Amino acid sequence: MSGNLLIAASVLYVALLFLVAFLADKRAAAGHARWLRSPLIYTLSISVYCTGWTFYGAVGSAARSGLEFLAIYTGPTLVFVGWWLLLRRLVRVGREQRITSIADLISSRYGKSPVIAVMVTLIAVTAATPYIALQLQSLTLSFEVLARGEGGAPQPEVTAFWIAAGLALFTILFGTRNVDANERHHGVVTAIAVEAVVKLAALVAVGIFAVWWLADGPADVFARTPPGLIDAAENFDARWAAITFLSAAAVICLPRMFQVIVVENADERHLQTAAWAFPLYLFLISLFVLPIAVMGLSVLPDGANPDLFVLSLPLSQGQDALALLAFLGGFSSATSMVIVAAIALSTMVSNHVVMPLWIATAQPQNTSAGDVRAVLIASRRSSIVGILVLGYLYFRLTGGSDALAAIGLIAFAGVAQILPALLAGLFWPGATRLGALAGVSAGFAVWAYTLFLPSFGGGLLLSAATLADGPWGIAALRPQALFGLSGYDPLLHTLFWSMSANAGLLVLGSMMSRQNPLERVQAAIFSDPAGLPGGAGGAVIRRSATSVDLYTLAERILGRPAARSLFAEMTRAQKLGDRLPEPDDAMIARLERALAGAIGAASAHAMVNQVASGETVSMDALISIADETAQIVEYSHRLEAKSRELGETAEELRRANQRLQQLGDQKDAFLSQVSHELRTPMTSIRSFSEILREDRGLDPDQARRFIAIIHEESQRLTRLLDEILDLSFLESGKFDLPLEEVELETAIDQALAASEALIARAGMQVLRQRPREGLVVRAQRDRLAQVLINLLSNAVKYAAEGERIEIVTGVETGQAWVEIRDHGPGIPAQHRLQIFEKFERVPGRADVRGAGLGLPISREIMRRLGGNLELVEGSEGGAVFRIALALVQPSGAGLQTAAPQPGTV
Amino acid sequence: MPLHVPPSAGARASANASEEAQTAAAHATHRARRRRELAVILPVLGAFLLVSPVIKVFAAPVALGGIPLIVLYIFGVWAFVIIATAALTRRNLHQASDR
Repeated sequence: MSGNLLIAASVLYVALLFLVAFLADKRAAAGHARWLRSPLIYTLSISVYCTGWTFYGAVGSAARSGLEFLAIYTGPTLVFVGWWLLLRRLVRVGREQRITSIADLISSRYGKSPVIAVMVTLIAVTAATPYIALQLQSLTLSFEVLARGEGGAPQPEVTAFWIAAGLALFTILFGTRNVDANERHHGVVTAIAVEAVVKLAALVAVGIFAVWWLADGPADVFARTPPGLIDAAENFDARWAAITFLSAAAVICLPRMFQVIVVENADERHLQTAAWAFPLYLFLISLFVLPIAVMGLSVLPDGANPDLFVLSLPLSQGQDALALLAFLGGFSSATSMVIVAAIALSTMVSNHVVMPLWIATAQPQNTSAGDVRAVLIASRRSSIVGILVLGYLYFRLTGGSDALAAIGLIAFAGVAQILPALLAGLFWPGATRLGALAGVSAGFAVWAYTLFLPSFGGGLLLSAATLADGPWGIAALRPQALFGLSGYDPLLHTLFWSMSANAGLLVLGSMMSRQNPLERVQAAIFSDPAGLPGGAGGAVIRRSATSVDLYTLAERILGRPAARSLFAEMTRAQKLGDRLPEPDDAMIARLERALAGAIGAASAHAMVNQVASGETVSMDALISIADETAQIVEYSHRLEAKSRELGETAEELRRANQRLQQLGDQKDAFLSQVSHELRTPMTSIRSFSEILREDRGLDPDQARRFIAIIHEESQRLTRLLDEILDLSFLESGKFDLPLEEVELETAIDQALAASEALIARAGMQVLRQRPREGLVVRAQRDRLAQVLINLLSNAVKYAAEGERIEIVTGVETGQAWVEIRDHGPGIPAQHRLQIFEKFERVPGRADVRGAGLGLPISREIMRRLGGNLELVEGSEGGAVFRIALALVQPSGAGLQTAAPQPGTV
Repeated sequence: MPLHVPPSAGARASANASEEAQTAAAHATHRARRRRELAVILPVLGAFLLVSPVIKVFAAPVALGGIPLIVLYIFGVWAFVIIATAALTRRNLHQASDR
């Protein structure tokens, strides 16, 4: 086969892809993108996982180490079968946060940190370098094999160079035609899907050719298997598990896989289809790898490169057409990988390295509109060229001699360093930026030192001597036997040390540092993507942005039509008519997300903040806000306490005022009663004295009777005034009654002696029940006698004539009591409460006249003596008044010691 | 004298219908939850069968119908998880609340 034919076929094939991509872009622009956005296209685009490594390298690997190649596919299979656990979350976060790349995702999660984005970009570019070199190598080898014998094959370096240049051109033409707001590439994705079909068809065709043309079905193929190649148990040792892990990590962390799975995802539900359809694709593509390898080993001469069995097997049988198909399949595998990887990596480089630098150096105010877009596109184009140049240099430096699978695993181990930060970001809200940065950097450094740099075989940075003996001859630091851990497979060795350092420092760093507020917000969104739809993003405070500034910014980055429609939509959302939208938090967050779709979250955040010239909530700002809040809270607590005190005082004042009013009312009532009481005797005195003065011819007897009445009334008046004075004296409470020890019986004797005449006149008898022993109480004898006299005279007044009065004395709970019982009508229930009020009289015998002050005075006296006067329930009817006083000597002992009181009787 | 008044036939029927609807809804929720649980169990089972030392049991020089046991085993497990996932995702797992 001539080299020219191959070149013609390749160019034709690329032209076909161009057409597909072009039509797809056109249909998408016209809005007819429905079938372009189907789960099938999505699944096929994910198969960009299967590269030249799969197409050529898997067969080589199977010929060398049996079934080990399958681990490259079981890892992704498990990840997709477990889509519910991880991918679903990843896709949801990616869609909600308008994530543009894996670096963007990690940086968004850790507080939109630009540093971590640069770090992840660095890892991704470094790890992609051998991977792209692998594709160049597989393409170059395939050219070489097919053109062999024709003498027209150029030098491998030249072939590789032109392949790299052609791929760069295609990628630039289709990957960077526009800066899409959501960073989706309809045309490229469709072309990738077509390539996916071609590579699967080609490999299956070669497989069928090997199994049913060269051999007699599967049994014959396996009968030709060299002994021990596929059933060796040591194939499934630690290396098997390690490769499964690495491939599982790679299918998530590889920038191009992240691009097709998360960024290009149009509908979350497509993932459900891809969950089984992508493993099925892997299943089908690996099905014939082993038979092709076995048939290659059995048919082809020794020394044939196993990595090229897919091509050399049909060629050796003269099947040039099949060989050409196989070539195109390999071409598809390699080119699709390079194109998508270059797009993903150039997005990362331009968004996370070039844009931040540009923002930091350029003054957006002084640049004309469109500059940002120009910078973006230029930086993406140059990144694509740069990435392919790096891949080409790797190919030249390593000499293109290694097995394809070995190179691919180096790349896998590199991108796997992103995995701990990614998983921690999604599932551990406490992971901090410092932890992630420390873990990722350490893992990357260990990977570069122990696997990546040694892969140059002493050609880059690490010399052959350093590889063999360690730097400066320190054996403990030998790159492939770190700390004396020798005898392991280099891949396992690297995986162990890098992942230990990575995960260890991630945990340690997170434990030792604190999240800033933006990081905390992002961590919450990432841990519960469904809980916060849209995400709050970075709040901008003390904002002075105008809508015009923000519009200018959006126009520069998104282009005029996109910016106009975005702002129109935001205006509609705010229901403002046809004005520009108000720059509130929600509007700025939305604008930031829209810009993030074009230039990445960290850059968008920086740009919006610069224009909004507000400040992101920094830790310091939050702390000072918190301090202020605490002060305000404390102040309000103090105010509350004070107002509570004031309330209590006011309540007290109110009560005092009420009491004063009551007292005032009482005083008024008292005065009116007193004047009423005084009026009656005064009236009779005045009328009798008028009669005496004016009627000269009055009968002397009658005149004497009148004078007696006048005398009596004036005596009543005097008594009344005495009593009022006495009561006011007692009630004023300005002095204490001097208390002394008084023998109760003596006081009773005194009272009886004073009332004797009264009792005798009423014809009553007094029954006195003395206690066996004398009782001594603290009182004032005259006042006590006054109370007793009052009670006795009451009894005389109200009881019927000839009835008896009982005086009973007793002791109860440290108090001596005296009861005066009469056998009169008693006090009616409705009057019981009133009898101690001033001027209240119980209706009784008609001849009974009193001022109604006796009982109030008596009660007041008893209270002043420290005792009490009350009306108690009598057992036989009649009124029973009881006085109680504190007892000094409860027994007769007091009589001997106390000085005998002089009796008045 | 019986105090209990039996419900009318119509009321009974509608009560039965709403009960049935409730049971059906409960079953649907239960099935949805079971499917989500299976979606978690499946990759764990797959990892156990393909990555753990269990796989070594089948790495023996035995062939069935001319095909080595280990090849049948790996591709068999592989096919099984693909089919199981396809069956699981035939219904939308998001339907019955995925929070």
